[in-house]
Amino acid sequence: MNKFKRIRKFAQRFSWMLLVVWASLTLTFILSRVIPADPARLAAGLQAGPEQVLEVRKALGLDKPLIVQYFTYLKDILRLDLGDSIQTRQPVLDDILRYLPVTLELVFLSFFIYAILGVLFGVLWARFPRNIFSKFLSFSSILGVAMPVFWVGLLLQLIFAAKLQWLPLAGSLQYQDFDITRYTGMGILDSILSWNSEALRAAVLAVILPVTTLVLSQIAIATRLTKSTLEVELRQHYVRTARARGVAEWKITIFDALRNALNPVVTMLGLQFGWLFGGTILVEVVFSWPGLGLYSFNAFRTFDYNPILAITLVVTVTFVVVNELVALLYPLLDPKLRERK
Amino acid sequence: MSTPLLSVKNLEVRYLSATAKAVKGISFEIQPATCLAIVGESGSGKSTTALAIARLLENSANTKASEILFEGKNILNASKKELRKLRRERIGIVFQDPIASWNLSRKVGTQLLDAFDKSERPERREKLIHFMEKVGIDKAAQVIDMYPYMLSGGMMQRAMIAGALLGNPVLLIADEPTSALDVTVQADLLHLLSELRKEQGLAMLLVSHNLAVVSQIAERTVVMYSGEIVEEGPTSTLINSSKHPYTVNLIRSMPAMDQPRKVNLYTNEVRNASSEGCVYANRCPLVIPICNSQKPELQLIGETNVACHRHSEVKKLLEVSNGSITSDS
Ligand SMILES: Nc1ncnc2c1ncn2[C@@H]1O[C@H](COP(=O)(O)OP(=O)(O)OP(=O)(O)O)[C@@H](O)[C@H]1O
Ligand code: SF4
Ligand SMILES: [Mg+2]
Repeated sequence: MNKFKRIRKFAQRFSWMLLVVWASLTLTFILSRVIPADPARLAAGLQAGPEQVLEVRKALGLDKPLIVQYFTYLKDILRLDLGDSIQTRQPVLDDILRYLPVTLELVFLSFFIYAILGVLFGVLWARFPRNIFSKFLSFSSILGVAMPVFWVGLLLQLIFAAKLQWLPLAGSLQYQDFDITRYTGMGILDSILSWNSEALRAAVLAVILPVTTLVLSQIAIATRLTKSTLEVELRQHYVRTARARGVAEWKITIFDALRNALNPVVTMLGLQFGWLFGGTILVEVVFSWPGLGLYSFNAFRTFDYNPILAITLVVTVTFVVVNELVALLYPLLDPKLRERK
Repeated sequence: MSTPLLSVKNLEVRYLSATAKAVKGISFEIQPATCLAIVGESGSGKSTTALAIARLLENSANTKASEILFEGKNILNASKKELRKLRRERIGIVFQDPIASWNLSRKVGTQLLDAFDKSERPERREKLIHFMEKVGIDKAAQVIDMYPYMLSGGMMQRAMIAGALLGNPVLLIADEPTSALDVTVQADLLHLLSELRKEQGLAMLLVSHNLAVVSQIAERTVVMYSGEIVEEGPTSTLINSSKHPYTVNLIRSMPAMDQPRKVNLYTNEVRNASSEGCVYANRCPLVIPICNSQKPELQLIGETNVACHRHSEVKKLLEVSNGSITSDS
């Protein structure tokens, strides 16, 4: 494929992405105006009289026709002006930039562990189906899907924090307890950057339970998909050919079969990344983890609609971008696609 | 006769998913540097036999045998490690379907060299290029770095053969190595295989549905029907004076070598599963009452082994009908 074609393909993808983002923005806007709660009323406070509410309504532009509101909303987003949060009385953008890294610490760590363990377990299960560990996997993968996130979280808290007292019950790293700077907002990274082992210890301990909860609640999906796609590959004739050549079994599993099974697995991992992002909301609530999830939970509770719209935007964009990145990965995995591109 | 390179005794295979045995206690031998062909219609158990010898059936089937002696050692008792070494260095295998036999997303050379240690690879690679040129691949050094899907079916199979020769095997197992290919390519490849065999002093187990093909290559031939050997002997004798009715029909129904197998002359009727009588009884034109009650054992008649109660009459009847044997009366 020549350069021109490649650029055109990229432009196509990119405009598709924009379209998806725009559609979800519009949908969120409609939802926020249709829901029968009155934002002006909430913003003005419970004690406010009708006049004050009217004033707030005007100030927020909520008295204008819907279509005008819609365009103002789009224009503001383009200017990265996401409005103010009623609750924190801060620009929403500032809030998001503050809370996002705290959440990303959870998401990145969970995703990393999730992907590695999920694929590893799937491989073990497919290769040694009669092994006792595989039996355990097949049993627990049903349990894992059936157990809701908050339930797993509470259970872990009960055992490891309340009962055994090995790990903190809730909360993230307390910066003020240690002499460290908030470079990124990610506890572990900041403690490393500040070269403070005490803080690092605390940060790691704090992260264990929420990450475990997130991983446990999702791992069955990766494990099962890896197992079933790998099983199909292991039955292919080329696997028999490799055996006939005297190639070691582990080599065949990894370099032949797993490699070919990876396409659907990577797609799934991409989607799961988006899901983990959404799943942190519950986990952050259970563990009082001061990230975007807890922030949006509070925003939902008080119908603080600017943050809600903004968070929808962030989640959607992340989802779309991750999926596009995954699509870009395919040709690397499959030489046939690489050639066609 | 010298000691055989491979000696199979009472090989029995039952696929776990099937009720009937695919191979029912067969025995045969291959002498060093000779070619033995296994022929028979589809489903007669040829591939199963070939795979069982290389112990490539493990998980899907139940394999039993008194012994499978290869170079004096019982393959059935070989450890996983010994098996790998055996497959890498003593036995080369070529399968029927070249496309399915390759992993399409890895380079040709990478796959063929996978079995060898890193330290060995540069040397093996040179050797592979040498063998590739030998089997008629131009620009072998480039093909080695190509992906299999960039090659034609014939090229894939040539590369496969080159790979099978790489470990300097003494036995080459070829399961219908050409039947998925173009007719012109088929003839080329078969010619090549028999040349290589003579040159390298290889013994070969050639599986084929086509007697015409094997008549040019194999010293001895085994005719299989429904998991059993019905006739075995020197190829030319077996073809020119067949003593089993099935062999006769097989020869008569063969398309010439350069024609693809199209028509299935054998009806797929349910075969008699009873172990009492002759396996061929329900399709045999010469069937007599004893055929259904007593199993004919393989016995040496002249130069060939044959399992038929009426082996002495087959020739006579054959001359009379001057066509495919249809009826006895
Ligand atoms: N994996 C399997 N599972 C169950 N049954 C099988 C399997 N492979 C083969 N069989 C059965 O075993 C018998 C022998 O099959 P086999 O493949 O050895 O025949 P073949 O002589 O090689 O035939 P063909 O000329 O079609 O390759 C057949 O009845 C077939 O249906
Ligand atoms: S034994 Fe009887 S049934 Fe079997 S092949 Fe001979 S004549 Fe036919
Ligand atoms: Mg076969």
